[in-house]
Amino acid sequence: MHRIVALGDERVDRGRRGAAGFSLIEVTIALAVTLAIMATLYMVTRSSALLYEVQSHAIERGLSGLRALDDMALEIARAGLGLGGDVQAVVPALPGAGPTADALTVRSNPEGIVGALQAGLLVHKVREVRFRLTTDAQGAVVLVKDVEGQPRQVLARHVGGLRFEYLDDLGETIAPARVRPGRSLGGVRITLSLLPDPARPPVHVPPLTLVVPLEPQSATVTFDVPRPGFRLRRAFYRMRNAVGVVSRPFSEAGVILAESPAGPNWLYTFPLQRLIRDARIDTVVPLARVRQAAALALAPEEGPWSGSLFVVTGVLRSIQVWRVSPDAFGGISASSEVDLLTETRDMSVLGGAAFGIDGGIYLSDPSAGAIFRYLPGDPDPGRARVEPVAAVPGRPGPLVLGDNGSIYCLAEAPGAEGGGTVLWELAFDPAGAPEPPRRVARLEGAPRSVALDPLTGSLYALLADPLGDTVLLELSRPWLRRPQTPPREAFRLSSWRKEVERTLPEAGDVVIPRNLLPPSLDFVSFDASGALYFGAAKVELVLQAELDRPGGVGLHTLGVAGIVGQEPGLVRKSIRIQAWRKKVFGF
Amino acid sequence: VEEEGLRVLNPRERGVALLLVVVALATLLPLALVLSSYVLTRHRQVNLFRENVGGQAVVRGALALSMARLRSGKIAPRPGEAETLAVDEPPSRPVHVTVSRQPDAVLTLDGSVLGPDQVLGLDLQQLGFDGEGRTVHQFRRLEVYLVEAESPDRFPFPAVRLLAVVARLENGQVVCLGLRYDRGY
Repeated sequence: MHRIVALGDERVDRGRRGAAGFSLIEVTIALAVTLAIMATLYMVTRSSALLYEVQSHAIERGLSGLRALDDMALEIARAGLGLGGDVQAVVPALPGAGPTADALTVRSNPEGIVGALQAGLLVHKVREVRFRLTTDAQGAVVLVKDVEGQPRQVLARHVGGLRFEYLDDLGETIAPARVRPGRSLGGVRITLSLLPDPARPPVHVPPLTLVVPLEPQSATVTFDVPRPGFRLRRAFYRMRNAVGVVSRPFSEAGVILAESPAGPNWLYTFPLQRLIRDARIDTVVPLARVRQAAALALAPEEGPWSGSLFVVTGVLRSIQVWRVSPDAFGGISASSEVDLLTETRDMSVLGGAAFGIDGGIYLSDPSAGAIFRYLPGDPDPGRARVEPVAAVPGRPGPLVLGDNGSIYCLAEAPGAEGGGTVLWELAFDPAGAPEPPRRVARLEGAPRSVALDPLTGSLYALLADPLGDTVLLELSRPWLRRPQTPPREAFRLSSWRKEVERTLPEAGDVVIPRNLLPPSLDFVSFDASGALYFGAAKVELVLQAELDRPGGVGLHTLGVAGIVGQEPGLVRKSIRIQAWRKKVFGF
Repeated sequence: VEEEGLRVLNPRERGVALLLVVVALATLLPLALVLSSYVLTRHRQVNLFRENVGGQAVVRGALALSMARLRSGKIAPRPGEAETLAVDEPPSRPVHVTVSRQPDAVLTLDGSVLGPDQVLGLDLQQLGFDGEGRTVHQFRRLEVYLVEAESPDRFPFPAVRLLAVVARLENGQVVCLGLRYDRGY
């Protein structure tokens, strides 16, 4: 009855509907709306709680990572402070362990405390800091910082990975095994990956990376009066078909491999001391079973064959690898054992040999156009296990292990290229496996020999130029990266011969009879002290010389370091300067 | 009647909309605050790290500048004196540098360091010969400078300071003999 109302009188109708209560549909709609709002509120609240958990976890992870990275960066930036350049300030290893990429030892002397035991012998108070990964009592991987005399400090927990990469002064990566005393480092790249805490909600933690440049903490002052030029120091006569010269770091003796008058090869050891100017031979080590040696390589000091000399021969289309072990005093002498390690017919000609950073001996075969590898550590000695690892166009010849850990090969260019020499680089991937060879540059002339200057890291390539002369080219590290201009000519045989014939010798100069002046050179070598050697088979000579390097290498050089000290609570600062005689090998 | 028919809300329900808005804001506000707090925290973390690294780089740059000026002679304090320079580049990170000249050090061929009192009466240009007859210097004199470069603190970031020992050799070369960074000293 109430529904029958006059048109235009809705006000009356609305008032009555309110008085009659809500209909079922209205209640249902209201209930649905309420439920929807409550569900939304619940979801929002739950999301907020989850977000809170996740984000606080992410913040904790981020902060832990940054703090750890900052702590490591500060310590690395202090490396070498107050120690001087002769102390290895950055060691990619822990005490008693081999080189590794996930641990680091940093040394410094922030207080500048130095004592002098005797003239030239200094004792530093060394602060040693070690960063490494370990497992805590709960089984989590943690990054710890150990400082001698202080309790261990945990920098970060739940670490997924820690990696230290070492950069040289050109920014190139150096393998940890090649970070050694005397090797200049440009910086350390730290990569730290943290994992989420398993007890908290999962979260993505991006890895953190920081490059820390190493600061100059010392300098050198030379007392030498500059005297540029190529200076002959010694001439070893009657060295028949000499193959090369090597010496161990810090050793007082060098070793020449040559043929004996009777045929088998001999090793001649001689004193390296620079004061000795005559060509005396200390010891002769007969290698009775070794004939037609074509290459020699000294095993890396950081490897298992440290101190051993490897001689590679090519006899009757068969390649043999011999090992001459060090004697009880670590040198090569008549008591050194000589063993045949392997013999292979997979190769027919030997072009060159060099150790790789993987501990393998790399051998080039010009006729096969390939580089082979022999791993001396393989079991079952005596069997041939020489495998091809790289194909090189042309005729690959001399090999050398470069300062950056790559093997470099001089190869005769294929005929289609019009002759000349091509320099190839055989780099190694982070796992230590050789990568495909990379063509670096083309050089004029035929390849003779290549050697690494241990003082500058430059390669020196000996080439027979098209006019019959012999030239020595300096392939510096910057040039090897960007070989856009011809390399610097460090020595030209014809020019040197003219100079020797034209000038009168001064007191102390080494004089070579005119009929023994070499018409050509066959090999170039460096000993560990940086002295240069040439071999001239036609006149049976081995020449030792000092090379005029850019910047020079002084014999009388001091290292100097300075420390700023400040007493606690005082503004005034004091400076302490220390000096030490730089080690010059063989001096 | 027509005017009242146009009303959307019942006059008795006035204020309900406001109440709804207040309830919605109250619900969303904590979430917004939490998010904002996280953003600020992350921002602060990253900034702190950047400022640390950036501060170190700026004072290192100031050292390189000081060494270049020492090399070129634009800075040449006498012994016991100091010169200051302000590096305003970048403007957001001004650096104050003091270069103070310390007493000269004299090195001898055998590796000793002589102080100012020990060099009185010595001919520092003296030459000698080594065992092989080579000509060598007997002494080398170093001009020693202390370089202090400071990037002041800006809350919440600590100040960064660099202390370096710099030497000028007799051939004009300027070398760094050692440096260290301090933060929040």
